[in-house]
Amino acid sequence: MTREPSQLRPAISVREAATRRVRVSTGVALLAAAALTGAFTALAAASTHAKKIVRRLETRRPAAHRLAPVIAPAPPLVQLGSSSAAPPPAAPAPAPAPATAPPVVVSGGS
Amino acid sequence: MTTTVSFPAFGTTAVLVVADPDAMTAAAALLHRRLRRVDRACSRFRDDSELVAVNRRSGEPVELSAELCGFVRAALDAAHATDGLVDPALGTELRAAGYDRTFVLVAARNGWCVRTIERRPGRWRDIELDDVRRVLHVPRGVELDPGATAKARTADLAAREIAAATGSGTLVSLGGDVAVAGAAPVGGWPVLLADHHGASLDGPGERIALFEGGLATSSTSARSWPTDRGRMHHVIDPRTGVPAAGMWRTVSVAAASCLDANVASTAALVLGADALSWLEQRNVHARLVARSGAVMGTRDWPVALECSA
Repeated sequence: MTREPSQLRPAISVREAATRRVRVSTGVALLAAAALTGAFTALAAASTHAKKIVRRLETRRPAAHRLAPVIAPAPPLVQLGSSSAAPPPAAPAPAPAPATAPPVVVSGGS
Repeated sequence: MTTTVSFPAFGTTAVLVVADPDAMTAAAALLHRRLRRVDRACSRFRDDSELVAVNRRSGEPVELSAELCGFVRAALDAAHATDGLVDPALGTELRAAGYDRTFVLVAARNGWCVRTIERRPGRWRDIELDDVRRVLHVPRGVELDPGATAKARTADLAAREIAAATGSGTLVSLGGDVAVAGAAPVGGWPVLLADHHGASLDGPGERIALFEGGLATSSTSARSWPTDRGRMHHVIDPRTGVPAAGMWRTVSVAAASCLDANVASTAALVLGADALSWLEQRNVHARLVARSGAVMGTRDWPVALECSA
């Protein structure tokens, strides 16, 4: 059972039209995928990871100046507690300074 | 022009300095009175002290005097603040290491065989103190030793009491733990730092000026004694139950109070290599002397730059 060429022509044109539609669809899908990939890549690049690193670097910067003579108050570790003769604990003390006068007492182990 | 008196107290030396010479008589009387009160409450070596009676009754609730209650609270707070590095429940360990009587007798003894005891670290957490009812419960077998925190707190309270009563700037030192109160002299209270509080004022060492708060120095080279396991000292590492063997020989700390300073210097000796970062995280001003003699300071210690140059 063979068909005449005149009978085959409509079938061939239908197949070719379908093939074209598949090619166009594939092209559109590839373009869309490429666009989405670019968009997500850009989004990821601008997202939290890079910012965190920058913040960490910024907070570490003062450690590079550890020897700078910062006069920071020392907060109380332990409250002296209540006592009939004692006023409330003193405010945080500043760092000591080098002495210019002869010492009046020795602080050492006992 | 300051005036100074010194006399034996707590098995060490008390030094009282006042900015106003006319205030000395009243100041000395106040200091003597307070020291007698504290000794009666907190001494480990007096049979008639309240602390000895409390330690005999470990395992049962005991009502405390207001005096001892304040010292026990401060010791427990110190343990909390240091996560147990400064531990008031080490009386048994100290005794096992050989410090079982006044230090004059310990030093005069010809050696000591260190006893091995069962170690149960962190027992200070089981100590219960009701501050309102002043009821203390110490677990059976635990011997309370407020130790250094009691000395430092006494210096704080005495200095503040004297300054308030006399109006004079006041410095009180108990075995080298220094507290100041009231108006400091121009240029501050000059203090020499040394390994031992008995060092000569003319001797070598760093000199700093203290304007307020307190200064304490803890050292493993002071209050040590010979044993069959080498020299022992009085700073017990709560993690091991034996005298601390860290890298520091002496640590001096300036802080808001002498109590704070003492807590930090003791914790630093125990911590060893991690001490410097521990102190800096707490903004504590400290000077550390290694066993080798090398000196380091926290970033704001007045001579830190000089030392590191």
